[in-house]
Amino acid sequence: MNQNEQLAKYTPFEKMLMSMARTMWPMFLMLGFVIVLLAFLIVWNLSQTQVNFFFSAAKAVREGSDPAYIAAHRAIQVTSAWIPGFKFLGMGLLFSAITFNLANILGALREAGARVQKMLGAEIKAWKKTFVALMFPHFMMIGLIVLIIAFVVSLNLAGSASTYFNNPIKDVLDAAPSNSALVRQLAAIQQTKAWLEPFKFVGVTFLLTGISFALATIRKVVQFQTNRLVEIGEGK
Amino acid sequence: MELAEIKKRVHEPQATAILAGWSLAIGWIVLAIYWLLAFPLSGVIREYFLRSKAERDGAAVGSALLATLNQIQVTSAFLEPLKFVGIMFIITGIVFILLTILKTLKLRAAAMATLFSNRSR
Repeated sequence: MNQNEQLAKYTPFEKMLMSMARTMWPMFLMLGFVIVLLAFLIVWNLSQTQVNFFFSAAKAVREGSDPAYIAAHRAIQVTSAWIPGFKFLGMGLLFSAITFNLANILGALREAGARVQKMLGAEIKAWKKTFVALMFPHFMMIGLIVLIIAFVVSLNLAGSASTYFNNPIKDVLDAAPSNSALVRQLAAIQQTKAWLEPFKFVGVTFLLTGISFALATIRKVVQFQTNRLVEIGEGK
Repeated sequence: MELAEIKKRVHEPQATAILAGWSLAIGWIVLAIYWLLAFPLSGVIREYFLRSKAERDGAAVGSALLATLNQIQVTSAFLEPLKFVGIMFIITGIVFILLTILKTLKLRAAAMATLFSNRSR
């Protein structure tokens, strides 16, 4: 049975997924790799320049009205707002590349199983998909979408941080009265940071569960094929 | 290994597969607890930061504001490792599934060897 004959047995959704898995894993791997590396380089550069500059001054100077220190503080806060979301997106793309490759292994296993059955002159029986097998591509997609949303929110958070931290710490930020516009802005920044962290882990959990479901499916396929070989041996 | 023996072993529940299922389930439960605690905490954090810095820094012992700060700090401190406990269980589940695949592959190799040797006789 060639690849086209094998593909003819799949639903349009499965065909789309298999085609995506075959063609898109290198792009996901490369993108994930570049994003994580870029995040490291950006933070490394920030640590050597702005962080080094900011923390080499006395507290009174850092929190004063010198525009150079305000800019450094702002750069540190803005970067720390969007970089975690960016890193998680990179990791999500890498996890997705793993899932795509597991889907490729599954496709190859099913094709090989059909070939062996044909070679042995037996009726070609295909493994019936279970809930876990049907769900793993969805888990991967949900996980990745969650991480994309988290990244977009973290970009928005960086925008808010850029506005808020463009002020002297001691004279303006620390002196803002309760419920003032500045304090409400700080509360919104802190609140977003607080829910964004568990939200990113929702994405990671879905991606890791997708990987485990794909592996469980591989195990089920191998188990089915072993059972089929026994059946062929028994003349069924 | 005879085909009958392989057939019996294929259908036997494998300990590693059961452990994988449990590990994944525990991981999800731990993470669900983490989410249940972490998401509402963001509201508490918002309430706390709506106060001015002078008010926050000047919170007296026994005041509601200091109790809120205590709640934020204590919860955040244990939530940080808790999420990794959940992830640890899920990754452990993945390891157990890989072990199960290994055992199943060995069984398939035995089935192929038996089948082909029977056919070549």
